[in-house]
Parts: sequence; C-alpha cells; structure tokens
Amino acid sequence: MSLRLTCGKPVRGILFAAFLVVPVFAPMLSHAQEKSGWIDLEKQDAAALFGEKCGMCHKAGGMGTTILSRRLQGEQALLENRLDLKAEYITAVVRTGFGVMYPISRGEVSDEQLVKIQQHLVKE
Amino acid sequence: MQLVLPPNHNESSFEAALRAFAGVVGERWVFNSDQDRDTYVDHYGFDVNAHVASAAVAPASAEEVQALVKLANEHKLPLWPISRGKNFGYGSAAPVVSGSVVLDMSRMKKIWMDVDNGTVLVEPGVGFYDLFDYVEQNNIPYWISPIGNSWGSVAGNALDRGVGYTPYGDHSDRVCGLEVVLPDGDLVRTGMGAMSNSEAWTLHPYGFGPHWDQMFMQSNFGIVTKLGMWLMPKPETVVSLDMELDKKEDLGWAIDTLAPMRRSGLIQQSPSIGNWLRAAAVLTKRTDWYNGEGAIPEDVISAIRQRFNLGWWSINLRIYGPEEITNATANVVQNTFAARTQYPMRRGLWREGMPREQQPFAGIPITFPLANAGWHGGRGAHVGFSPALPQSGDKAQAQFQRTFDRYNEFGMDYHGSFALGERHITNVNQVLYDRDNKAMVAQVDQFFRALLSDASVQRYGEYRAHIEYMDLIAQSYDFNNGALWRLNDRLKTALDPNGIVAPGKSGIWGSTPRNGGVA
Repeated sequence: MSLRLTCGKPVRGILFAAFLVVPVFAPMLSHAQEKSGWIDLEKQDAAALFGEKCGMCHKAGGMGTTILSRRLQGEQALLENRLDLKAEYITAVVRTGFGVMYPISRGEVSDEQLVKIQQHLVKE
Repeated sequence: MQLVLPPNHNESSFEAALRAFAGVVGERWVFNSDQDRDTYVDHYGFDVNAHVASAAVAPASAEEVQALVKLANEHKLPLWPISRGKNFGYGSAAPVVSGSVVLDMSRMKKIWMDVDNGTVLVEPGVGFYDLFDYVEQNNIPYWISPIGNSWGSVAGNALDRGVGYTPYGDHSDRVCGLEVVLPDGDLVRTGMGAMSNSEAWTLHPYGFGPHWDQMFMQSNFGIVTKLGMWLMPKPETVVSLDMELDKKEDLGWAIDTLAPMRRSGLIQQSPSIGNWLRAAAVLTKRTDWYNGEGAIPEDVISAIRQRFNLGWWSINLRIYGPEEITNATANVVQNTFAARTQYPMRRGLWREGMPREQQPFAGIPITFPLANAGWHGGRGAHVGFSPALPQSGDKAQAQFQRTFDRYNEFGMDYHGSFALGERHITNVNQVLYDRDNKAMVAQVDQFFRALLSDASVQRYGEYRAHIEYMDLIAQSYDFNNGALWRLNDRLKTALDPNGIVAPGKSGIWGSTPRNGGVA
C-alpha cells in the first residue's frame, strides 16, 4: 500500500533566511585568517557528487572497495574503473543496499543526483 | 517495506499530514513509497520490521524544521529526526516507534568556520568527509576528529556522544553552542548563541545561566539544527606507540599501566585496546579460516594472529605536539611499559610534510573497518554493546572474561575493545552476524540481553544504546526507583506534550504510552 501525494505548489525560497541573524559575513573563505560565512558543502558536478556521496566507501581504501577487492581482481574493485556498470543496476544497489552496503535514501542522494552519478559511472 | 501507519492515524489523516509537510518542503522532499521506507530501516538490525518509518520528510533549513514540527503537533504525528542516519549498530535511521515520520536532515549541509579560533558551526547533514574535505581543500590548519567508520554526521555523532581518536575525541565535550528547534517549534540557541549576533557563540560554551548543551544529547527534548564544535590545531608531530599483547590476561595490567598516564594528562587521546578480530575481520572472511560450528577455537585464532602479526590484544596510542614534547612524552610512556613487560613497543614519528597515517588518529576519515560486518558472508550486520566501566585493570579483565564466555556460549566470535577515558573505560563490543543466517539472527537478541544483564549485575551501564534496547538500558539506571528517568519524562511532558519529537529515544517517553501511543 503506497500513498500518493496530491498537493499544491511547494513553498520554497526560505533556504537562506535561516542565516540572516548569524554574525560575520565575510563572503567566502579566501585565506586562513577569515571567518567563512555560510558555505553549502553539497556538490554539483557528477565526479564531485560521486566523491561526496559514494567516495567514502568506493574510493581507494573505502569499505566498499575493501569488500569488493576480496572478490574482484585489482582495479576492478574501484567503481570508477569499472566498464560493466549499468544505470538500472546502480539504482537497484543504491536504493536497496547490497551485502554489507546500506540502502541510500532519496534524502541523501536525490533521484536527480543519482542520475548524475550514473552518468559518471556508466561507460558506454 | 509496506506502510505502517503512525499511531492513531488512518490513511486519510496520514495523507493529510504528509500533504501539509509537502506544503513546507515541496512534494519532492516527502518520501513515502515502499522503496523509500526500505531506505530508512535499520539495515544492520536483526529484525528490520521491528522499527519502521511510515515516511520521511527532508527539510533544507531550520525554518523548515520549525514549520514541520508545528504541523506535526497539529497532526499529532511523531517525527524521528536524523542527521545523516548512519548510527549503525545503534539503529541506523530507524525510529523507536514504528510509523514515525523520519525527519531527514541530510540535505542541511552548510558549515560556518571561524578559522582564527578553529571552530565550526555545522548543520546536521555535514558528514566527517564533508568537513575533512573542506578543511583540507582550504588549507585550514586544524584537524577534524573522525570516528572509526566516518560516513556519519559530525553533529549527529557528537549528539549521540560518539568518540574519536585524537585528543579532541570526546566529541560531546567539544561541542560549543547549539541551535535547537523545540518540540513546539520555537527556536533557541544555547550558550553565547543566546545573545543575538555574538561572535563568541562557538568560543565560550556557557553564556549566562544554565548550560543546556548536554540536555539535547541522547535526548528527545529538541531537534538540533546547528552545532558548534572545536577543532584541534594541527600538531607539529605525532608519535605513534603500538604494542601487541600476547595473552588474554594481559588486558588488566595494560589498563593499569595506561590509566595513570591518562589521568595525569600525559596521554591526551583515548588509547584503545582491541582484540585480534578487529583487523582479521576487515582483511579476511571467516570462511577463509574456519567452517566449523561455534566460536572460532584458539588454534585457529593463533593462526590468524600469526598471519597478521597480531597480539591477542593490540594497544594503539598517539602523542601530539611539538617534537620536543612528543619525544619526551613517548620516552616516559615507553619506559613505563618497559618496567612492566618485555613486549616490544613500535614507535613511529610523523612530522609536518610527511604523508599522514590513513587513520582517524591523524584526522583522516575512514570507512574500511566496517568491512568486518562481512565476516560471516551474506548480508553482514552488527550491533553494538558498549558499557562504561570504572578504570580498573581487574574489573576490565573480569568484564572481558564474562563477555568472552558469553560470546563462546552463543557461538559468536569475540570482537571487543577497551578505550580509556580520563577516569573510565568504554568497552565497545561489536556483535557481528549474518542477516541471512536465520539461526544466528534468532539468537542475537538473547545474546544481547545476556550481555546487558551481566553488565547490569556489575552496575555497569551502557554509554549508548541501540533503539531496540533503549528502555531496557534506561531501566538499568535505577537509583531511587528510576528517579532520573522520572525527571526525563517530566521534562519531556512539559516540552513536548504531544510526543512529537522522537518518542522513546533513550527510554524517554513523557506523555506517550510505552507502546508508542496506539490507542
């Protein structure tokens, strides 16, 4: 049983209102003697998104790489080196988990972000 | 995962609540498909059906959290706030009360840094890797204090009193100032944050009057939306001292040797003494060594230890600071051990400019240790059992033996460590199991309860709990017929009369009945 939502326009645009009362607004960290202002660490481009969302486990030394290297040869344990990954497979593993890997929610990786990550990993 | 409705809701009232939530965050940030629910289960729990969310909603700001909390009050719908939901071994993202809506703050990933003073304000979605990348890429001369499996939230970990390995490893103690959405939707800032526009919010923890930061740790009295934290200035050198201890019985004297140096401040981080399985289960699988029933026997343990040059126990400690000081300190530590044992101590020196040890000791986040969850094969899983003990070698040795015997009784492989605080020991036991092995899964609960009961007899309490056992552990804190939890419940009832924020967290229910409020 799955409920469907039917609602009106979402309310947006209050994202940065939260920070208007925070002190010190140096625009951006330029060198090590300043306070930063608020910086959003969410990444945009595909490779950086892969690093942000998947890299902790699937770059060199991560949990996923460690486990995959027990059963795959050499460089194949690194997802970014794989030639055989398919978009549907990536979606299935990300959303349902696999072995020790936990499932990743749409709160953590949105559907749009997942598409970008797939584009980064699928080599065709 | 099929929908489990929130307590006292039907489909239409639930749908009305979600529609209201969508009016705040946008429809795309309300998740209520079967697959969405699957992504918020306790993936490593032995019964994923025991604690399931009905839906999740992902706000982007404290304002949105406030609006959602107000709506949750109107709709009488419990929320289960998570930062990144990576509290593995303790319940992951799953709520105590099934049917709760997960308030997923993963998207809130902003930081604000005071470089001069080495402090950050982080939103809940900022993970250790995010903070690490930010600090390193901007050449900020501070180190973060990552945890043993670092995918989690900096704020979430500190709020659950997680620990790291540098001198700043007692994370809840390094918190300086919070912003909190109260259960009625009001917004407060603690410490100096209570003074508008104070630049000292992340510098002076107390402000004026009562200090509330700890009130929001391991509690359900509010939803933390920003957390101030101090970072450790980058040290000039780090000296590593590692020792392999050959016998199980070496634990006690090793603790008694370390403890005075920890108390005096000579050793500033929390040295950990862990057993052979910690490394073996990361590097290999159980079937590489043993296919028999029951716990791995001593002769196989010896073979594993030999292959990886491991003691039954390993001690790892680190000393940070200018080289004159780290060298002198390391000499004292080595001499102190040399007076007790012939075991060699390996000594290493890191200086600025050299490659850093790829370990949390050196401020580097890692995730590979949880490869150990694949020890049994199948869908690997683990649950943590973590009592705090007095700092005594005899007591630690006895606690180890009791625990080890229980592991053997239940046919599980012992996986434990003893980390020294300044005046106590935290004994973290990981129970590794295979979720696809029904017989193994069936006994994990009994095993856990036996460990808990043994510890409680000794009057050792857990420092942190899995969602399934929060009530049991709260009950073990039983002075004056549970007076502390009566106080917690009174506070909860006063602050959250509708039971909106994480009912059941840490055994605190307030006005919500123990069954989650099902009428």
